[in-house]
Amino acid sequence: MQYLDMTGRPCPIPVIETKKALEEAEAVQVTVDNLAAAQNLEKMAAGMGYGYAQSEEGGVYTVAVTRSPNTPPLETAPPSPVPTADGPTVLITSREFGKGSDVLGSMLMKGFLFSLTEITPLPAHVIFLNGGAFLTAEGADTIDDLKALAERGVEVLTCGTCVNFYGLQGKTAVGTVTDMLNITSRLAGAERLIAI
Amino acid sequence: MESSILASCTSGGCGAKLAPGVLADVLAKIPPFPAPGLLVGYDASDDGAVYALDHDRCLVSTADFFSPMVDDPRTFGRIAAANALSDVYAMGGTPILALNLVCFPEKMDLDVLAEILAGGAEKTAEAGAALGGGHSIYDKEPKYGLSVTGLVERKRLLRNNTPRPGDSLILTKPLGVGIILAAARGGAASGAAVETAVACMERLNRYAAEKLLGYDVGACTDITGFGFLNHGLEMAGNAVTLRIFPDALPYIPEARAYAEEYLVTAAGQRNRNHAVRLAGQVAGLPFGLQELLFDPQTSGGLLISVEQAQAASLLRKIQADDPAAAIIGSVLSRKESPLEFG
Repeated sequence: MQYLDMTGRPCPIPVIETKKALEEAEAVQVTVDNLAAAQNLEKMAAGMGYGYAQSEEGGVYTVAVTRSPNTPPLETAPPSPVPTADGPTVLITSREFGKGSDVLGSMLMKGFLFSLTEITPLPAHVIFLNGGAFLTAEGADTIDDLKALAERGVEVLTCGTCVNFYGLQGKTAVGTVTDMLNITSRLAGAERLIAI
Repeated sequence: MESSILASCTSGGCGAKLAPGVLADVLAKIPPFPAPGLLVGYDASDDGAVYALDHDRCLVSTADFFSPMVDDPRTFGRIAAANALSDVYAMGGTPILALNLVCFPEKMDLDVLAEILAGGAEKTAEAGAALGGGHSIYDKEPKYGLSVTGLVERKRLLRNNTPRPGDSLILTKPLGVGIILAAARGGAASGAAVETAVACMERLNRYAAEKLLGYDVGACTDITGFGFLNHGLEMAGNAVTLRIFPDALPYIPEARAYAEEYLVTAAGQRNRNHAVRLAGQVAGLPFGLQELLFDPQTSGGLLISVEQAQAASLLRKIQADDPAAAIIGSVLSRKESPLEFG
């Protein structure tokens, strides 16, 4: 059974993708978010002599189409695999990403930290040094993404010397404050290191 | 200048209209406006509002806007304007004044907006109307159209639901643009098909409308997002039955082929759901033709109900500038169904 998530895709994309999938697979299970899309798939199935089944929950339609004309069973889709936090170690040494414009650098850093939440596997550690200490301090616009990482098992560390230097004591809003020895061990033991 | 205005768009063109039943339910909750001058209001589901100025003349007022259905901004502007102007023609009127209605993303290149407005200005000028200004706001996707004011002589005002038994029905543009744009979204439409669809949508209904002068026209409407069949049902109302000749319907050939491959729109299916009372009769037609009947048209042609003896002559006049026009049915006294195929 092939699974297609066609929520948010305008017709006729669900039909096109389902037809394509049925060239390889015997059965395809498609999710769409509106009745008309499910009905268009039903018309296609009926016209091509395929089997068709449909169920709906909370406005989401799950449709199964099979090459054989018998009514296919509807399965609950397999859960997406949960990414593990055993990926690279990330070292961030400034508030901005790269040199040039600070405004751009801030935007890039925000984008980068968000994209860390989307990689598989997730980073094992994200370490903040020097100007990077501001990114874990309360009020930073990066806190939400860093909290999302921490919740999923990513170790978020901020250098204590840096926190003190910048007067951020008590303001670290995510992860733990630690010392250089711990940071150096993480860096030395990293299989893959991303240093910004 | 290439920019994809389609990138962030949900469902462009007339595919984005609220489904016919949905709108009716909402409007039913608004109290009617009893104004003696208002000859045609929203309770009538006609093409525009009509207000009597004096004994002889009426004002026609209409508005239309939507998000892009084509990639090129200038083309989008032309189509949106042609679509908005069409409602005035469908009421027998002449557009005189238009206002821009604009939504545009803050971060999008303003040259794109300039191109959209240039397209709109082109069509407004072609219609002989004046562009007087407009209104714009920021939005996450671009949208464009016009509010149009027109004039119509009271005795030449055309309603959409007053066809007379015995009349012939003429459709002035081919069906299928919605299907072709849908197929194009999936990378499955030929360049030629898209060009034909675009030319069709850009075409002003002015030229066909002007031919109606001197003819005994019972009713007129333009075919847009609800599809041919639902606009036909609007025309039939409770008063008559429309007999449609399925083999006479003009359509863009590729559209039928794409429909047969199920490359159709969600809006088309919603149109089909709305016309469920005709499901039995529709089921007897070839599938591709069925889909053309429900296909949402953007800036579609005029559907004209004209005195039967004059139909051939009117058709020839219309065909001089709009060659795809055809006689596609006739009006009968009311039978059980508002519409039949024969």
